[in-house]
Amino acid sequence: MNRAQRATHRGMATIASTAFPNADTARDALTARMTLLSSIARHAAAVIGPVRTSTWQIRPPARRGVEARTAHVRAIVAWLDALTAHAADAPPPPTSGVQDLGQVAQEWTRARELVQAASDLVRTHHLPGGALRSGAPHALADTDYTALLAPAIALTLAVSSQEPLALRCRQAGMSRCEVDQWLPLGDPLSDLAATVGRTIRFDASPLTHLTAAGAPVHTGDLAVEWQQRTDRIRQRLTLGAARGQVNVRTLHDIASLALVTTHVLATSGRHPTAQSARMTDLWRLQLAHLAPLRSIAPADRTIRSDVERLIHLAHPSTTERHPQLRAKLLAAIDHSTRTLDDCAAVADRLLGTGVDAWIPGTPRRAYLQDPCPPGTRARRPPPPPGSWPRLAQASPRTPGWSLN
Amino acid sequence: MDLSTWITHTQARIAALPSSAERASAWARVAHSLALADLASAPPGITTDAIWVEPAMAWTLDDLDDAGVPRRTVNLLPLAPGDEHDALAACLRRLISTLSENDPLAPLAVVDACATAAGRASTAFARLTGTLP
Repeated sequence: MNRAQRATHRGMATIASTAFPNADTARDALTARMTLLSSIARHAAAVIGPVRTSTWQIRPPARRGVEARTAHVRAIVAWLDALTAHAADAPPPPTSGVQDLGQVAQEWTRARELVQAASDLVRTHHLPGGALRSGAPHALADTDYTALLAPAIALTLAVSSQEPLALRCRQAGMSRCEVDQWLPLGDPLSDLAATVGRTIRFDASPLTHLTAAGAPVHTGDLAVEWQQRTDRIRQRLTLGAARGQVNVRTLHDIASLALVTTHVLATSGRHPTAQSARMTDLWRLQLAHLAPLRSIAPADRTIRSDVERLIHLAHPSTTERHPQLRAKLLAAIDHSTRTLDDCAAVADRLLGTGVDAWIPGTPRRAYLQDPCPPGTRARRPPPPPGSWPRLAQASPRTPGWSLN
Repeated sequence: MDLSTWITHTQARIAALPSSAERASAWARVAHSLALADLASAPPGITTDAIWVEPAMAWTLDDLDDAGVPRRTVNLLPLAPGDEHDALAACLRRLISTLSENDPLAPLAVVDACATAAGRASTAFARLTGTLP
């Protein structure tokens, strides 16, 4: 997007310093401008996501209906509507070579290609239905799109100004009617982009650090999916611990997964009954200890979505009509105990050395005076009830096992 | 205290909360507490179907908290031992009903959180009871 901005500004600088040689060159520049605006519209829609875009564009049902959208959201929606109107009027990109176009059209065509590449990069993190994939960066899951939309808004402001371009087009010999068709008077796009721009911060965009999404989890094979998701949980937990960004809610999610895994392996007969019973009691204690805890760092949404999916897979109803699939899944679950033990080791270290865990204070009655500001009362949690149990210890690795 | 009286008392307390999102948060918190109590009251080495409900309620509470729904204190009366499973099912049913209420004044973040929570609560109810809500 930064390179697209530079290309756009080079085009505007060329307009300011050099006249169009003829009307065809001016028309090429106008075509390139319209296609650039349409690519910006698609990029903004890709960043926000089709689901949220359609949700934001829902109007109140009646004239006196309550407007539930914030002013910031309304400004973004108005800007998107103006961009979409330009996208609807945009002609198809020129089929002739870029080198045949004028300098301005070449720069803006280059900017359009760069914006399209950025849009494709963002779309790799979305599912076909529009939802974010579970491994998407937190910047894309954040509902505050100001930092992500800042480059697109800056591009819009740079290219939406009409007067210098309209004067050059008239100078090149285009009629006033034709110029008014391409650049209608009273076009609100510039004002709408400026309105949105006033509400955001033009910080360094996290999109510059966005990479293409990695290989998706293979959901066609339950056993492979289980292994891939548990490996990803361990990887993200270890990475988060190294950065000091693990929330106790994430540890609670992993403890829930471990309890479910213990339950599944115990009921399948894979692990001895006595050791499974001891494991179950230890995990119940850990879960009860973690349930009320909170911390500053946000919960890892990727780990949470993976845990939710794994718990869904582990439930017997998921494979009740496919005994062979259930058998393969149980083998994968048993094999993943060492991965979960690695997660338990990380959790032990975090709970033993970290200070980012507390129990929120109980909200007081409204008629009682509270000297503490809202949301600041907390109390230190009790010490953990012991180390996290290791699932692999309960497995005797017996050759035979029964199905659940 | 018998189950029906406990549910009536709890429902009356939660119905006094001002918005549907806060009532849903209260029901989710009650369900979460009941799930933890059901797990804790199980015999040693035994897990109950509450293991499928507890994480779903924890995630629901986190989503509602992140959406800005304030937590309200709901004082519960003690429940008779052994009634946790039935009380949990009743709470989940009421949670689903509360999440289905339409609140035109709710912010979009709260609407999103309630929609996700309704799906989770329905799945949790099916896993707990073996039937659809």
